[in-house]
Amino acid sequence: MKPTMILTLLFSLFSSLSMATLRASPETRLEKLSRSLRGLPASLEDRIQLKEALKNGTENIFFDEMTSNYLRTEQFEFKLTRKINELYRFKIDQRLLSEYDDKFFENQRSSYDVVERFKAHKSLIRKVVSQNLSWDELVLHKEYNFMSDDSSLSILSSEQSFFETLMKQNEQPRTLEQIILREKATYEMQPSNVTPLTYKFDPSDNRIAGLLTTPTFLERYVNTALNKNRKRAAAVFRILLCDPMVAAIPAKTEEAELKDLDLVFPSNNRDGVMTEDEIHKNVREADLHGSQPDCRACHEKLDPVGQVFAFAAAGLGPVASPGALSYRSRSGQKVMIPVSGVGELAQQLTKQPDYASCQVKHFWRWYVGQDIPLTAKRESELIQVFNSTHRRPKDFISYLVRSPEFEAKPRVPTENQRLFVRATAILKNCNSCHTQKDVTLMADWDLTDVPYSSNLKQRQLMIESLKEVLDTRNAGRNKSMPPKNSNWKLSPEDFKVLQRWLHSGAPDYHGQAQVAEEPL
Amino acid sequence: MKHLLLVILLSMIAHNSIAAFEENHRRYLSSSDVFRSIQSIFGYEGRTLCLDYEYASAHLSLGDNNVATGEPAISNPNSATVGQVTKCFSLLFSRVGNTEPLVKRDQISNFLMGFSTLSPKSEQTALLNPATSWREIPAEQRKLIIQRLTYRVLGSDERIKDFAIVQDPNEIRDQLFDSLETEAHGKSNLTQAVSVILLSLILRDEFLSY
Repeated sequence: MKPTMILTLLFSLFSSLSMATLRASPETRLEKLSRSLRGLPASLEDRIQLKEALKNGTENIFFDEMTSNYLRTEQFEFKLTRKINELYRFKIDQRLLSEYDDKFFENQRSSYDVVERFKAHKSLIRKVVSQNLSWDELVLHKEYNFMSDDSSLSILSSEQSFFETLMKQNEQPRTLEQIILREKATYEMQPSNVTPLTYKFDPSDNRIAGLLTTPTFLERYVNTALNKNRKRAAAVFRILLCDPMVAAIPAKTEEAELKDLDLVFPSNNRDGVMTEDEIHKNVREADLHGSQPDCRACHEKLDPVGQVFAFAAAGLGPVASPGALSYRSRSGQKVMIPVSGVGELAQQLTKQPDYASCQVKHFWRWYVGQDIPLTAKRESELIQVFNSTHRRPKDFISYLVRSPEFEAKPRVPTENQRLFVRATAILKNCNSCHTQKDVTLMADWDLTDVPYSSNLKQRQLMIESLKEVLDTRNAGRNKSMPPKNSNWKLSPEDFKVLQRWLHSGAPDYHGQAQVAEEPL
Repeated sequence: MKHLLLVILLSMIAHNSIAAFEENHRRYLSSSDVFRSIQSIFGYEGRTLCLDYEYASAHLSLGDNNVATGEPAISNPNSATVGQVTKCFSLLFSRVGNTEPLVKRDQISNFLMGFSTLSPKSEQTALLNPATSWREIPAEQRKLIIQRLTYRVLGSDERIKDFAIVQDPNEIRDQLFDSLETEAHGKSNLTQAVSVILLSLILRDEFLSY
């Protein structure tokens, strides 16, 4: 036998042995499956069935069946809808939650519908989840179904009037003939105490884009004359392209650095009382806006996307507002796609490779865990699966919960691994600035992507630069990062974690030091 | 006296359950999942009875995400977490035998002895009165009760081993057995002892995470 063959065989043997060691016991896997999909421990019946399956050697069939069963439960739908609400940062209404629970678990689907469907966004999320529609429908869907309850007008009136206005706009003759033709819509009303309402818009209606054009989204990411829908645009980038952006404006001078020049989110200022006049004055004095490439890096993305919401100050307007999808993709390619409205924007977004990658990451975080690194190779495989399953959430989740990563044992981390997790959790805050492409004043560097480089010299340089900007050798007395005008401040406790991590050689996920230790 | 017992109990078990969210590689249940999981111990997977009180503060103490930032409201399970779990458990335990979705009155003894509806009937013949003194129950039977309750809450020994918090699952059971041997539990009856056992188990990472 050739030596290469022996080596290959040995390697395969070693790999399968190590996989077996890492794989959790069937009992643990069942429990994890049940808890992550249903949020409940496996029932005694399920545990007994597992024992039987193990005895009969039908373990795989058993897990396939259990996965399908759990994915069909309403508990699964409940959990996934909550995750989506969290992703969009929609408030989970306490009243709805308790009522939902009351009715939902009595297996009265109709009552559950009533509670969930008071709001258009909730009914849409639920529809995508329960009908296993393509994940893209969250932002592409053109139909809203929700309930109107005469006894609780306070909840419903704004929701209903929002869509009523849109419908009326469709009925009125307008000057732009083209748009009248493109925005046909119909709706049905069924009289009863609880009235199900359907607002259905034409597939080509560019004013409509699923969750992005619900009252809840527009209220959650409120518009002002100053932020000009950039808050909404930032949410679109965060949710759909995993591009976090912060609003702090880099200052040119040390004096200006002390000022909190948050132009996009004025209410997020340190004291929360910055007025528009003050902002305008600061802008004029510092001559910041538009003059710094770092500002433009975000504004080139935010402004054109914000423009598509220009017709949506309080409700949606009669005419779709044009804008553009403009950003630099992860592969470094400049993307600039003019769009005629928010509907087309959503369509274009869902075609972007960065969108698929981002959505895969959401699912990975929810079902495998963000503590388990998603390598580029694995991500690429998962994107293929995501696409081949037509982006249907249940199908993709079904794949994920059968993956080796999901089936791995719960890990007991070493001290270095704990340090890595804590340090990267803190460094995640740096990424909102440092992963922005086209920002000339700062490095485009994902600080959580450890190890930073395969080249030792490069790693040393990067880690040394972190030590310097944090001034870890002098207890951070002269640290220059994060900047003083940053919304995010490094707490003394977090500083100590970073200091300890950097001086322990900046260990990675496996606990391996990237560079030599440097005792403090 | 009851309060003192609770404090002693919490200080005794707290070190088992505290593990930083951000530091370890386990995932914790969300607040509503915690409540529903606790209910499942009482044989009920239905609506969230614990939501009836203080939900707004409970969900933050149990690590739910902050709506403004999208990050967990607290990074570590803390004393408030233990407090919320304990409150929910105490509420449910106090309703055993009285609230229909939970354990029925005529099922109390089976429940306290760790039997389920799926346990063989032959095993359930010698049911004990809930007021029986814990100490008067033969040691072997007490150990069996602890063993059955541990299985109900944490699952099989294989699962407990996978978490690697304890090397040997017997450590958990022995610790529980020994803690009930202390003077503080000298006068505990079966109901009180089972309450202590169950609360100790649900505050463990093997129950709260996956």
